[in-house]
Amino acid sequence: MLEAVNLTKQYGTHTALHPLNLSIGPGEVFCLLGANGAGKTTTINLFLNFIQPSGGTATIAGLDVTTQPVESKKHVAYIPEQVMLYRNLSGLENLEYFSALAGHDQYAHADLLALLDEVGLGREAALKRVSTYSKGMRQKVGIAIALAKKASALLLDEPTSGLDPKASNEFSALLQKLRDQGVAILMATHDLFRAKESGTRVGIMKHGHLVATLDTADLGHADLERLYLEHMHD
Amino acid sequence: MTRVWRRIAAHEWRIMRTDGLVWPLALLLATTVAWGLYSGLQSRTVVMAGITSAQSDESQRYSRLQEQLARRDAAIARGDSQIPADPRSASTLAGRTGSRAAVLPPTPTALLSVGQSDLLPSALRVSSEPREQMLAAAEIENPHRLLDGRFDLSFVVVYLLPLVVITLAFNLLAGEREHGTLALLLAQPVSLTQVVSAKVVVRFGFVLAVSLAMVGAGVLIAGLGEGPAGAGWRLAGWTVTVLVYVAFWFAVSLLMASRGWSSATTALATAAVWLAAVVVIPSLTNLIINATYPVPSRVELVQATREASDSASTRGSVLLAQFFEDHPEMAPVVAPGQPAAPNFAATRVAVASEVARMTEPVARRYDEQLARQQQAASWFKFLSPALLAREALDDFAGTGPHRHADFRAQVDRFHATWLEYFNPRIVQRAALASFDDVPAFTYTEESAGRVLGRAGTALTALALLAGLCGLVGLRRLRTYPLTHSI
Ligand SMILES: Nc1ncnc2c1ncn2[C@@H]1O[C@H](COP(=O)(O)OP(=O)(O)OP(=O)(O)O)[C@@H](O)[C@H]1O
Ligand SMILES: [Mg+2]
Repeated sequence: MLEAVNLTKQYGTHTALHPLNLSIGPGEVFCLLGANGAGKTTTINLFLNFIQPSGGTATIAGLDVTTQPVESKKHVAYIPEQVMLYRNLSGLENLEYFSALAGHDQYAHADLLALLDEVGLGREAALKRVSTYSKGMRQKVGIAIALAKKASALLLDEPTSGLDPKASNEFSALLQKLRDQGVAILMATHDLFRAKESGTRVGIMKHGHLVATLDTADLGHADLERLYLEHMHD
Repeated sequence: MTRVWRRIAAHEWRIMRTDGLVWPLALLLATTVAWGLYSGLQSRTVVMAGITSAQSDESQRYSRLQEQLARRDAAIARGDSQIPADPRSASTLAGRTGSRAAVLPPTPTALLSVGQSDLLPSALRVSSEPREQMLAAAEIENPHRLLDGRFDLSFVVVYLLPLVVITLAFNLLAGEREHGTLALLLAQPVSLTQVVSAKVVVRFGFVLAVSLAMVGAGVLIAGLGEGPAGAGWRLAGWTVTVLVYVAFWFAVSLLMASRGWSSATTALATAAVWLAAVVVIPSLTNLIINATYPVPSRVELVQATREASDSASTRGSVLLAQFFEDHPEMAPVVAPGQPAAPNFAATRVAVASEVARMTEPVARRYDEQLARQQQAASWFKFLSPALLAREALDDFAGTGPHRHADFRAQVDRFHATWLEYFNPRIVQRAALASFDDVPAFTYTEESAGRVLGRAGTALTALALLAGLCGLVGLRRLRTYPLTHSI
């Protein structure tokens, strides 16, 4: 579903991502760990075709993202670290617009409100202008936008940043549900605990290299933290 | 237009409305357009007043002449001993008394542009007076020159519309990128080209709708006047010019937006293009043309005419003899040995011909220099979209220099016809059978094809420029940096 083959990115002489080979199948949650500047966002941006790769390919549902940028985006939903919305519209209106662009005109307001409620944004808040929202509330709308798209792949760049613990926990439940529905998920995160909880696999990234890939089933929580810190030593 | 494209456009319009910028902008646009139209209307009124005054002056003079003729006929009928002079005499009618008004009627679309109609006279009085004197008189009389400020609709279109476009389009992409919505937008199955084109089309539609609605309302209220025909194609040509010019500024905005600069940098860069295209290049062009082909002042020309006239007057009898040598057909038939009766009228004709001959080189230099200036201007205009637009707008409105030059050429031909008609009759001391025999001027309107050919060239150049900027801008979008600004 999500596949990188020798995917690289260079900024001038600086290599932000060394040849990356990665395949995430349906029902898999791949958690990308790594220090600040390790190359996690770079990887996700390459899948979104927001930046041009210096080499290699990224494919979504078998579609090369650089040659079929529009088509490939029908199959992927995205939640950025900072969900930014149209300030003068309500959360509901934002959700409605992005869903329509994603090809889902069919949603009634009731459906959309129910979806917002599911991610923890109540009806009252959903009808308010986004300019009055907190960061976490925007994040919830971002999650709803991603869910409404019903895509077969999901790219998450620290999606729970700014969420309160309860919402964060609910998000994990949602991920679990999507995983069961067969969605392929790539999530960049700093949250080792959630990575262990939600992920099927974790990858540790360092200076643009994917230095280790592990199945979470084989790990205890303490193991992951120990391994991670070991890798962070130079 | 796909469903997604329409959706983006509708969303864009909604965002623009909630932004609160469009209504003040619409108000500003509507006000300036109305103001421009008002000043065009004022100019048309002044031009019409000048024309009416020249025409009524002519008809008053002729009705006085009719009265004189009636008195004379009555005196003859009564068998009076004192018969008044015949007002139909060629020498009377050829001078100021019989002078004809040569009039350039404003086009139906004149209120769309003041153009040069406040600088160049639309009504001239043609008589046997030297051509230079006629032009100088008209220029001094032309009252519109006193009206200051040329805030006409052309000015609004050429100077202000681009600023409105820039205000609306400087953050075409940078705004959403800086705010962060662009990432979520482009994570959907839409292309940047779709997004940008929808944004441009909505803004383009807004600018055109507001300005053309105002112009339409203004034209309906003010009326198109009763000028010559051609309202339809002139209005259409003018509208297309506005459309293409606005499109050009959107294309420039797109080109600037596609660079990936921040909105502040984009705004600054686009404003710099505006300054260069609309202000700097046109002024420099003017400066260069005037420095390269300085036009001698008309005062000098009038002075030369006066001097020639003084010098010719003192040589009256010599000139008359010479004149008859040149025009033996006009020479009086006198019995051999008899002295010819003095013919003052013939002397005046001989003197006037001499004055025309003497001033001809000065006048020609003046005209040639003007022609050279216009030639240079017709090339220089390709340097600036503002000059191209101005030329096409004025030409379609019928207030540009070309239509006026054509009028002047027709007046010159009429003046020549006038002298040809009157000179032999003056010399022979003839009288006309009727006042209706005095040659009259009728202006022949330029053909639509000629105007379209001229304005079409400017318009095509403008369209090409717009297309080029637009295409380069669209191409650049492919490498638009989505995640950071340069
Ligand atoms: N536009 C750019 N120009 C030059 N270098 C860049 C650019 N964008 C990112 N980088 C570099 O690429 C590297 C990877 O950055 P990236 O944003 O992928 O890190 P990250 O793993 O997402 O970090 P964080 O945990 O802080 O989000 C960093 O060294 C960064 O400095
Ligand atoms: Mg990051």
